[in-house]
Amino acid sequence: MIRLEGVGLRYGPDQDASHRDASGAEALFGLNIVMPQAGFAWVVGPTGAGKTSLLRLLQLDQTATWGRVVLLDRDIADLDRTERLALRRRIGVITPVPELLAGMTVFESVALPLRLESRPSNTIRADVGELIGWLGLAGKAAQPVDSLSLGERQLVAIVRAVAVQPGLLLADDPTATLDASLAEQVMRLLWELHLLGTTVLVATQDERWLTWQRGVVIRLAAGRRVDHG
Amino acid sequence: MASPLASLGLPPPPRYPALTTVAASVMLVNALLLALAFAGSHLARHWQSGDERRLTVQVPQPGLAVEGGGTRRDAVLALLRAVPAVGAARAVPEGELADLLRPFLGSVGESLSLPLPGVIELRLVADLPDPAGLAAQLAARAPGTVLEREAGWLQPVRALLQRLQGAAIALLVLGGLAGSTAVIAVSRAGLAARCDTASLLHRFGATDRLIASYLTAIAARQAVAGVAMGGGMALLALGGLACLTARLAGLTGWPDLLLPATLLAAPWLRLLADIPLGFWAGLLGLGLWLTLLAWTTARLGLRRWLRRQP
Repeated sequence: MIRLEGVGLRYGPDQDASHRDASGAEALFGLNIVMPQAGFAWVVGPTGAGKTSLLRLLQLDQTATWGRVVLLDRDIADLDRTERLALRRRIGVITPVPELLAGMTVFESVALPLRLESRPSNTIRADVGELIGWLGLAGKAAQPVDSLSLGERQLVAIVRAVAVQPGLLLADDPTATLDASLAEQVMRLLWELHLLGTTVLVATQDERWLTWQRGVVIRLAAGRRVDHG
Repeated sequence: MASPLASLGLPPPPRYPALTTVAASVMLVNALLLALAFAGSHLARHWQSGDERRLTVQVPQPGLAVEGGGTRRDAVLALLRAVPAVGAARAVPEGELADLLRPFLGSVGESLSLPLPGVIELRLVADLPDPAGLAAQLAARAPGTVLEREAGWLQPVRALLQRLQGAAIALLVLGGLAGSTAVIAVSRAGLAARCDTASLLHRFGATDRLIASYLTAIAARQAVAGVAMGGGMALLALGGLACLTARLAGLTGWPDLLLPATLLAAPWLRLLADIPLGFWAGLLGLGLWLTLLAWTTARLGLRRWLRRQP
């Protein structure tokens, strides 16, 4: 379960200026969100609404300035560094632009989080093989990610995020670089994951997705929740 | 058993720009300064050992006959050997004298038939009670004979050597500080290029220790490569200098210069065996210091950055 109570976020002078709210340093105000385990939510709103800030907060890249954040039943204020590390491993992240390590093959890129969890190598081989095959990348498993198109790299990043079957999956505009057919395939994958028990939050500006599958809608504007949900 | 890092299949981490070059330059300069300090110390010791009691006697026209038989050189030698304070008196052979002068006069000196004086080396076992009196006696036996105490002309040489040694040590300290600063600077500068990778691994839940090991081990490898290159270049330069010096001193068996053609012919084993153990120890210590500095700076910088991450 995810619970945010009166959460606010103010970017300090030492924080990344690219993520500051357009009107000032404060990005989120008084957010209240409750999502059960295996919930599915659309986070929508215009540019600068605070969608990315909310996801960065949930992926533990930022610390809330005010309020209480409970992720996967753990109050993050109570966590020490080791516990945060363990929690981080249960959170999958998909960014609008794929973040991959140059020089790794498709297979190694997807296998990396699994190897960090010390999963058995035969399980990794089977799981990764199945996932990259499902998204049509089976023939490219041994190729370096640098040689792929932007869309293909995004698919690799998506497969990598879901491979660990995270407890929480945060997707920030995941289909921005994909064509319509692949975008739907990816959304179907995220929906399947939610059906399997993962809590999924998808941030998007394309509100057509809201009619594609029903889910909780978290509508943001200028850092505030405006859907009264 | 493979390390946890090796099993992750990570690509080679980004290199630290210029670290190898900087480490090589710092090693080269400091190795040469170390050699200078050792050479200064060696020369100072050489000129300070027992030279207080060495004298040289120059006998003009040493082959001329004197009354009572024998040459002027023989007469002077006999007089000197009778002095109780003289432990040993040796007439320097003409061939040896010619060898000493060859670097200055070349082969021309031999064809000119210069009237060289006879040279007698003296080693005293006690102070001369009356040097002026002895000089007068020598002049009476062989007019024009000069008694030279080496300590007199050695004094400024010794002072110069001491200053040279002090300057070499000061330069070594300064070079070490400047070199260390340069290595720290390039090791720090490489951090920015690593942050994206570190951030990604951090997001996957990789430990700070693992991230730092992965991204900074290359700093040590680059520093070792630089140190080896710089040390090798320094040895080559010192070898070249030794060959040049040997040639100037008229020693045989040394190549003219360390040109590629003569590189293999250089008497490297003799050269390396002559280098004092302290120099090797200093070189090794310098290399270890630079490597440790590069690795520690890179690692501490990254660990500090990681600690700031939420």
